[in-house]
Amino acid sequence: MTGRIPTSGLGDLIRALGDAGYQIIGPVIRDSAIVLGPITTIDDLPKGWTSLQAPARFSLEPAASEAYFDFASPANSVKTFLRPAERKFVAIEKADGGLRFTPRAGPAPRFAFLGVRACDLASIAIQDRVLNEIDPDYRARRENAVFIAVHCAHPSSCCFCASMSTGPRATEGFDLALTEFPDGFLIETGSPRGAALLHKLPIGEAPPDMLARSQEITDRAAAQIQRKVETDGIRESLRENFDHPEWQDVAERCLACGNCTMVCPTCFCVEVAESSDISGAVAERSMRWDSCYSLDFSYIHGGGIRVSTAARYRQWLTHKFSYWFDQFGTSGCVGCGRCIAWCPVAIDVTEEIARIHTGNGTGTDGGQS
Amino acid sequence: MTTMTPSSARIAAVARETSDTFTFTVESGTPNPLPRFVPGQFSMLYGFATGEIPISMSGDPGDAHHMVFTIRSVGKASRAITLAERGGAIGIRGPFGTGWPVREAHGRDLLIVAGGIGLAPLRPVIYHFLRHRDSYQRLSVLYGARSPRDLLFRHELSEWAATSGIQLLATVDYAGRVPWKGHVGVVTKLLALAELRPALTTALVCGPEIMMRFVLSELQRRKIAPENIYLSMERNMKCAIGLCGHCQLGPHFLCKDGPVYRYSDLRPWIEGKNEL
Amino acid sequence: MTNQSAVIPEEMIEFARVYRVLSELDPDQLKKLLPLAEETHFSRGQILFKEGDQSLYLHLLVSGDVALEMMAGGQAIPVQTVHAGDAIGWSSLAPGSRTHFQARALSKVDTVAFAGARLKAACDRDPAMGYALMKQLLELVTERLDAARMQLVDIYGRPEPVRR
Repeated sequence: MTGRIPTSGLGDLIRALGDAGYQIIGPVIRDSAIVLGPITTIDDLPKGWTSLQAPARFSLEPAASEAYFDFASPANSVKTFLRPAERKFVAIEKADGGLRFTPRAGPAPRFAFLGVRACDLASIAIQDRVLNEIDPDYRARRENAVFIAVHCAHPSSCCFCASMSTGPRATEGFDLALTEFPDGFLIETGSPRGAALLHKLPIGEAPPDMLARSQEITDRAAAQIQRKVETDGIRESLRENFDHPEWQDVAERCLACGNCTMVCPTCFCVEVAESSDISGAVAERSMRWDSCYSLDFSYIHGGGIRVSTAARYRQWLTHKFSYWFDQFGTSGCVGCGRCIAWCPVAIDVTEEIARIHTGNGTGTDGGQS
Repeated sequence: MTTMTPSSARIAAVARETSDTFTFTVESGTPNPLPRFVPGQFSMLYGFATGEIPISMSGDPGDAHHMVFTIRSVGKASRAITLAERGGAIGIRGPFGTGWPVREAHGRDLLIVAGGIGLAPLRPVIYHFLRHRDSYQRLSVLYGARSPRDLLFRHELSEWAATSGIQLLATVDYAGRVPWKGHVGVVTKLLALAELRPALTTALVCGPEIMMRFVLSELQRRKIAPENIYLSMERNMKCAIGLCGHCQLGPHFLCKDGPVYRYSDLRPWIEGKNEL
Repeated sequence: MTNQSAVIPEEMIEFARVYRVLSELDPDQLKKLLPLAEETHFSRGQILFKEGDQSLYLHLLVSGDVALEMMAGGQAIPVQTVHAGDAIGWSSLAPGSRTHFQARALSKVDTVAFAGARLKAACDRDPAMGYALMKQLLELVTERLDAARMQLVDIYGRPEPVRR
């Protein structure tokens, strides 16, 4: 089902979500970047701003238009909210001569994610396969969440969703999908929950050609995408090239800082940590985001398994693009390009893959913008 | 079994095996019984304010009321648990992982090759064998340790050696000044003495990585097929349910797909795969 | 001991081939060597040779276990045990050598022993045979070295004692 709202209707949508008891999370400007954060009114959105993303570069620039969503991926992803960076999950006390374990399970937050990109929707589908059966907190947050997608009009130079078949147009996983036009939004529903939301808005009928024009926007966006990954045969290729010299080459540049794993919307590894209060009467266990780049990630008594930077980079890339298939039936990458923008030394996964998989070192069709 | 919340348990007995290794008999701390397990599986043992460690069950899977763990002190968390007293409270989660092929090995000879603490995850197989003699042919146990003082289950070693149908050979790397009239040398050398029937043998291997490498090579040299060799692998484990990502070896989550693997399945991931 | 002109039965040739050290020798070469062999028997606890003795014999172990021991402060410390199929005393092939270890029978032990000097002389006379023998000895020594290294590398890790 489709409908049309004027630009101001976005404010109505935000109000309707707030009235329905959702915490609205959408793109905001913070620390000279566009990040996902709490939204209460339409004015919290980065109207008239865009991001310039390139390897090792993310900067905020005034946009050519007054659009609300004229940028690509914000710095963080929905993962920040569905799988928080730190979460205490059980409290332990000494009681009755034994130990009492109390799981920490309050009511899960109800998030409404506004302005989610196709790539991030794909990342949620991937996270579902990884976590739904084993992480009840993720599952509860995810089931409570509402997703209002925005079809991408202006990809960044880091994006490669098209070759990963995850965008720029959102096709599933959303409750509502918006296409931004100068005078309003086309809204498509993607679920009964989305349809119910729509009925709360002053929605008008969408002109017959609006959907086609929306498709034109995403087709144009797809044509602008510069980077790509040759996905054919990549599962075999990466694991067969365990000793490829490129691993040593990238290791000379890689700082093993783990930025890529922090910004990646599908990375899921966590540290499980124990802490106790000063009295020593109560202890707590928590999960914290961890990174396979960390030196003690693979540590067992006697030493680590993956000690060299080359081994750790190889693990991350091969897990993401190869082992993930064996484990979860899909690729682990959605082509959002965040790892390229946020790598402090401008390592480009599309280039690394091209060197190893196709051997010709070109993961891009053109220059940068 | 995918919970991250431990259950309350109590230490019913503690026995010292060596200077750094203890065997704990654990009973349930709640009205619910402890879960049953198959040989080769492990549990996450929790110590208050110190955290969890993955430890294979080392006791009799036929015992419905206790779980037994043989723990070596190698780090902060394991050390804390090895200091636990009888009556002490711990947390337990499990059982996790895949077990030794006690069913696949029906009608065959069992060959156990263990090094150091590696005998602990294999002891349940020996108990299983003793309870189900008719299901198997011979059992050979080849066990290597650092020195005579580091041998586990010393009392049982003599019992098993004296049991008909069981051949038990032990060796140490270093005899030192302890009066030791047994074998001195690497455990692979015991394979020459084991009276193997290669086509009929299912081999189960557990021990330090270097030892396993040499044993695997020697087993194959003696014509035991990789499909009939099983090993127990070790990796950093924080959750045991495929959530934390630490235990991965290539595409495998050792906590779910292992820790026991058939060697033919694992070979492409461990041979020539330095730092995988 | 059989003398050089006696006929060596075929079964003996096959039997001898079982010993890795002799496995590369052709029947004619074996026929030259076997007359030099002597069957020896030791009872449990008996010493085959003491550390520092003149090294006289290469022993191929037929059955039983032998401990190689080093003397330290009057005590014999076993450093390696060898079994049926192994060979000890190859230093007897170098004239004037002394043994570096004591060899003690841990059980009833049977060996086929060659006087090192006579074995060496036979190899000098027939270098092709000597080469075949040395090749196998080299393999055996390499294996022993690997095993010894494995013992040294402390694969089990030094225990950190826990006091309770």
